Amino acid sequence: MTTAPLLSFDLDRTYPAPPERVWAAWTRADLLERWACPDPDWCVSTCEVDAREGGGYRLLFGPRPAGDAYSETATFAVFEPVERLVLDVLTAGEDMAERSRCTVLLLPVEGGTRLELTVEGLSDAQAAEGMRTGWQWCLEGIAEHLGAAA
Amino acid sequence: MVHRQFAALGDPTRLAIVERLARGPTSAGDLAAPTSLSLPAVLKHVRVLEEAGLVTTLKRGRVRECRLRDDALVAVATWTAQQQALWSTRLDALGTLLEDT
Repeated sequence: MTTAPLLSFDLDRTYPAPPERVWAAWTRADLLERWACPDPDWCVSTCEVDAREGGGYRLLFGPRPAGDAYSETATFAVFEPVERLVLDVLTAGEDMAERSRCTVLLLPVEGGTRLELTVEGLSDAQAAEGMRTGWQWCLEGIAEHLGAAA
Repeated sequence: MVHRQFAALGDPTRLAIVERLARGPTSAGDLAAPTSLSLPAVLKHVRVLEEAGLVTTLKRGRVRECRLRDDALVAVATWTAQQQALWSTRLDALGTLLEDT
């Protein structure tokens, strides 16, 4: 059977814009706040970016009008302009707090930029790398078990 | 809740226990046998998995049977689905922004 990855996923898009503009959209507060909360009933009330390695962004967003029910704090673990951005993200609200690691790759392609995003769930940033291998074989085992039980 | 599951699974010993239980229920003693861990140490790890909602245990006479919950990873899978939906919508919105500016 195929094993669906439960704890990570990949997304990709190709945009008709050079990598510099896609990079700016991730690392400039005035651009980030325009796409980070696409729900029309919600809004971003605060968006701050510290554009350097070890810096990050901080977003407050939520239902209108306050737009502050949730916070998303990201640390730029890797900051390699217009190529690679790795973010350790903490999303928190009244009833939840979740960590994830997002890796953004920007690849120049004909007519634009291909963006590849990988998101992984993790218990804390330091444990992430070491956990990945363990997670893979663990979940494969469980998926096999679930497949056999179904 | 899901962060507790991630935290509980973020340990090689507990990952190994979950892997073992994925093949079927077993006693705490049998979990300890192939490892260098003492029974109390294994029970401590099992307790963490139990508190995270991943494992259930049942005392049968002098043996504690450990079992992976059927819904062990539902919350984890739900988290991933929600994250995927969020980021997919975001990347579409980013595309709209890049077209507009």
